[in-house]
Amino acid sequence: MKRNFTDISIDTSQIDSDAAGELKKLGVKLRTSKTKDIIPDYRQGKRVLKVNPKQGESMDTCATISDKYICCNVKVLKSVSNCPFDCSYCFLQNYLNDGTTSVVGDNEALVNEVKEKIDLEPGRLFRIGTWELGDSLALEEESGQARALIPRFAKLNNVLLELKTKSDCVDSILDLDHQEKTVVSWSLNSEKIVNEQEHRTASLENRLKAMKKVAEAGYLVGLHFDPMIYYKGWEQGYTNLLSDVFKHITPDRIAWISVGSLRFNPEMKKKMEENFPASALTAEEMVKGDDGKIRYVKPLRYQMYDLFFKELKKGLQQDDLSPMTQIHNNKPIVYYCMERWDVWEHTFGHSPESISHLDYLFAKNIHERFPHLHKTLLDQSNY
Amino acid sequence: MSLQNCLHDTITKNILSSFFENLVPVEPNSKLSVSIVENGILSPIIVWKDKLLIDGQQRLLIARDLKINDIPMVMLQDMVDLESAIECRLLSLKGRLTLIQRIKVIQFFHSHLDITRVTLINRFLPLLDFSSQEHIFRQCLKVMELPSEILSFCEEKKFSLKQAYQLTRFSTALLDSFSTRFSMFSFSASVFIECMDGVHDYLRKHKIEVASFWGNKALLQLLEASKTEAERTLTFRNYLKSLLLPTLIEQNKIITNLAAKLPKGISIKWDPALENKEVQISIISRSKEDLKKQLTTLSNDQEMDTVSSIIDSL
Repeated sequence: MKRNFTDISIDTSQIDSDAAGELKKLGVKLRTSKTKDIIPDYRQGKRVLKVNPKQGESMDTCATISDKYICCNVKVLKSVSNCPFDCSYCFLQNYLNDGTTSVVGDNEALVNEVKEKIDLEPGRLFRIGTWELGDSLALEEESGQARALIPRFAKLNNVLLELKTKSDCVDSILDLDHQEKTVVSWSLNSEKIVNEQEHRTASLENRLKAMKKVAEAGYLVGLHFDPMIYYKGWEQGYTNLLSDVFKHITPDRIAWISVGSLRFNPEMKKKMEENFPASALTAEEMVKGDDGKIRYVKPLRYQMYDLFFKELKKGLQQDDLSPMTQIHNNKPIVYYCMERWDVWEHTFGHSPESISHLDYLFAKNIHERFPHLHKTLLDQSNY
Repeated sequence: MSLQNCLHDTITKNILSSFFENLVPVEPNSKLSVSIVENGILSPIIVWKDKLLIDGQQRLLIARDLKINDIPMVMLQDMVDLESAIECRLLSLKGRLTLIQRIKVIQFFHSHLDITRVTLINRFLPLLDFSSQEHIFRQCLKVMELPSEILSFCEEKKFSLKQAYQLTRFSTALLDSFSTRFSMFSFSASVFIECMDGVHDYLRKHKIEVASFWGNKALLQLLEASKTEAERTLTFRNYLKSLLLPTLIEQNKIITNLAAKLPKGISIKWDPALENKEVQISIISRSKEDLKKQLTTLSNDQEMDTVSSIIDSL
């Protein structure tokens, strides 16, 4: 995937970083810069790439602001900001103060911070994603960041690195010694949504081909069906999606599967309409929830989830997908992202007791299915 | 044109003077008139380089009406540059300009004067009671693209910049369709935005033209049946809700019918957005006996089933 950056610069402190090396390989003449010019427009920022040093704490929690919505307690590593893709529902359009596309060059420093923090809780299995403010693999050609992080995470004990992407940029990570400590995840949607709303991303077909490649290279795979989007024909769209997915991956190689529906805050609605006037995503029947975000009304969400889970059960060949019941080798943990406890009950018959409980259920699933990845004794009090 | 050239350009000064005169047309102040008749002009007006009036618009107007030629005047000459002169003028107008007037100033400076964007944002936005941010500057320019009827409406209803800016994502056809119907409704700023937003969503979802929306027979009948502007506004808002939230309204009707089955004295509340799967039950009782009776009634299978059905519907 060739990007058309109009400007690529590197902080003077990052001249020996992995990213500098990758850029040199691409034939980019490195321009060093100490300036911190802010690009307020997130789209303009997509054309400018900067390699930055790590600043302050990079590891944080991907947290919800309302206890009425259950969050999975995954940690995030802020190693990239903004993204070359242009999804119409992307929250970054209303989030970034500086739209400059930037990657942290200090991969060693990022891993050192992770190590320092996870060592404080050795009895706990951490999941850490690099996707909070961007795509984990979209800039791999320029940054080589995943290639630098994967072998380093392979040496850490109680952590799984999650690289989440809408790209097909996987070739450079296939030969790495990953020790299954990296889960390569895809954000997936129906073909219509990929084609009409996820601009400049890899096609669904190419994402699935890339997914097959990483699975064959021994990586565990994560699937994120989020955001599910309501449109005329969504039923067939999502049925086809699941059918296609399971032609490319077997359940035993899937670490986890998340499901969620479109949501955004009221300010974001305005931004989406401004930036994507041709899109009618925000015009569906939606209400504001307790977390201030606008979602489809619950009866519509139920319709979508009911059909989706029916098809997911077929794909996984499991009648019971609850993360709280017995775990099998072919039963990855399936969870909702930012949904209410009663929606969990509607789908699974019960819900996690808390965010920490769900975090523990992740560890339990990994512990039982892939014991070599989480060798310490499983203890819920650690979560 | 460079700023230096601009300083010596009489045309610019004239444009500026007439811009400010048109921006804040003054009504003669009767008390000041009396004072000027009795005492003359006591405080000099301030003018920059013969042309730009910095302070004293009222006094000048009254003097013209009274044909007073002897007007004390302080001339700011070469010591003061154009930007500083403008700054003085804006300070003299501080607190007196409406939102749209303040935005007009920004747009005027941007399009007619050779003042850098950075200066406009950092120096002049704060003088006009805006925060000195790039996006505020861009919002101001965007608002000025709204049709003049809409700008007048924003002025009349005292829109904030944020509210006025929200209107910029709507099509001109939609904005015009509302501005030709202002007399039918009684809109506040927030209700106007709510209605515009609703129609905007409906048009996008169903891919129909604005004219078809307003030509809908059911809507026309509803609007005709309303007697007052306030009543018509309420009817219109409810009509929009029924178009935009059909599932929610249907589900709430089902729950309302279920709730009506509960005996007198027992009422139930639920989240009409259907997000919270919980209900609040209220019992009206006037005595201990009354309370016992109500609780016994509520614990009947029939009443419990009704409550349970309501919870299941959420």
